[in-house]
Amino acid sequence: MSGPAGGSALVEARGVVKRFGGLTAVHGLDLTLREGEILGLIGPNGAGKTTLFNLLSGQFAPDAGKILLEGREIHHLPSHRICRLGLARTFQVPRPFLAMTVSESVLVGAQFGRRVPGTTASETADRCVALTRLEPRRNAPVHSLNLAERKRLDLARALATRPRVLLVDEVAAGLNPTEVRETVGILREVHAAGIGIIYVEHVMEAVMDISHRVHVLDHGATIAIGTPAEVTRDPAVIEAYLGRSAGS
Amino acid sequence: MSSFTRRHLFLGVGALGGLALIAPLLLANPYSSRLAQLLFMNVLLASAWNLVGGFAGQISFGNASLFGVGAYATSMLWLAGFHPFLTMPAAALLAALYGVAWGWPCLRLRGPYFAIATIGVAEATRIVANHIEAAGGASGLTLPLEQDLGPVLLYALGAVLAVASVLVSAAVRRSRLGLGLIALREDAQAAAASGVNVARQQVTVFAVTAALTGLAGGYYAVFTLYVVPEKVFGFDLSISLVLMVLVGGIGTVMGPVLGAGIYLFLEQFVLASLADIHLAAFGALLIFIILLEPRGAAPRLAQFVRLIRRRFG
Repeated sequence: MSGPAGGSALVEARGVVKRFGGLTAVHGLDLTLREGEILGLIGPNGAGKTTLFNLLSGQFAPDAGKILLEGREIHHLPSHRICRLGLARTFQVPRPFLAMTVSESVLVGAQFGRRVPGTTASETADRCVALTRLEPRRNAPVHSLNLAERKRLDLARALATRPRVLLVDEVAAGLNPTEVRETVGILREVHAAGIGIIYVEHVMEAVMDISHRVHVLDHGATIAIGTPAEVTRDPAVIEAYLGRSAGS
Repeated sequence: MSSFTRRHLFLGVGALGGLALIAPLLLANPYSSRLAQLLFMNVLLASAWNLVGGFAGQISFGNASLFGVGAYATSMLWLAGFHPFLTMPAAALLAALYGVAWGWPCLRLRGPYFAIATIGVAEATRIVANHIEAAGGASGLTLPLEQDLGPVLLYALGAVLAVASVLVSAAVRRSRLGLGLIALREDAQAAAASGVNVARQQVTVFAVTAALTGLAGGYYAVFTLYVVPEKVFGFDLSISLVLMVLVGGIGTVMGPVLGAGIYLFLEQFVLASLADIHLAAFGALLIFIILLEPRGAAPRLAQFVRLIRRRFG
């Protein structure tokens, strides 16, 4: 899939550092998501992908460095402000509001997210429920949803905040191949609607299939950036995933 | 408020009409009048507590601090020459201000940490109140008996306050505020990531809780004509609210109403003979209820009503 080269930066991280006690989870990281792009973010377990998402979405404040959303510094803002400026996320393990129905949960995002004139919250919520194929389950209590549905609900709730940028954390993990294809199809629709996506995923066929560029992390630092084809041939990436070969 | 529908208004007026119809029955003697007053006060207190405890999931053991502020505000203003009805808004306002003053920092804590902080605040308030000589110190204030509003006015005031608190609760439940509260109760981090300003939502609803609790304190002062720190700032009072709501059904609109009634019934008719240990007995009962019916009486009653409707409707 060819990337939109040279688009302006939607999200930019510059020299971001995050330490947890003696452990440095993210080491002076630079990352850019361009306008109209799907950026894959991969790396072995513990590479710092989810930490980076927590930094971008304001769950953690970085110890050093800057994070910009459409050129505006956001690293000192709380989560809800970042959401209202247009950056939404899903969670690796879905975090549903168990006491609500599907449509109520999505309405939370629509009521409290970024304000867009000319659309009501309930219209937005309805569109997001439909987009994530949750229409048949709209009045179901959230606790009755299965894993695949809960992942789509997380996605619907995030989309209902009308983001400019969506951070997607392992939305295909634990799903069967049919569900993975369906999810990838939803992400394509999200991208077609003009939303930039940073996509963390361990399911390689999903992330390689839809990413324009792939950013590879290991031990909190960048080891490769390029098209999916480039990074899969990169020796540093192969070593990070498979280890050094015994002879070298 | 868009969430306050015509139906709510209709139900509120209907409830008040019903309470007016049964008024002669309850005003038959001083004891039944007092029971009605206590019931109205409990409904008001339990509904108020449920806004932050049930919807936002922040369990307060410190609402007596707000009740006491309301009781003292009304008492002191009444003694200063204001009509008791006019002191009610002041009781609500001062309790709301006090509630925001300590709720703002404490609501940053969640779960058991918040609960412990509320106990500290309420106990500190009680101890300080015992030493304010201008407010009567530990011996409290006695209000002018000769200016007693009389059972009919007290019944009317109580009925209006109780019904209003239930309507406020219903309106909050259906509002954007209510949606945000339930979201943050279920998962504060996910709520924040969906744009919910967790701190502001909690402080906003706590101001409403505090105002209603202050009104209950003011009402208590005008029907008992006697306020003393050990009673109006007492830990017993704070605990009793938690019990009422848990028994009735936490996080529901009608649960606190049911719980207030059940609590009053048990307190007056079953546990009165146990005198000093009645809270311990109630605690034992609570354990039973939590084991057998953790969501309280309200959901079970709703189920029963649906069953009756299906059979006969």
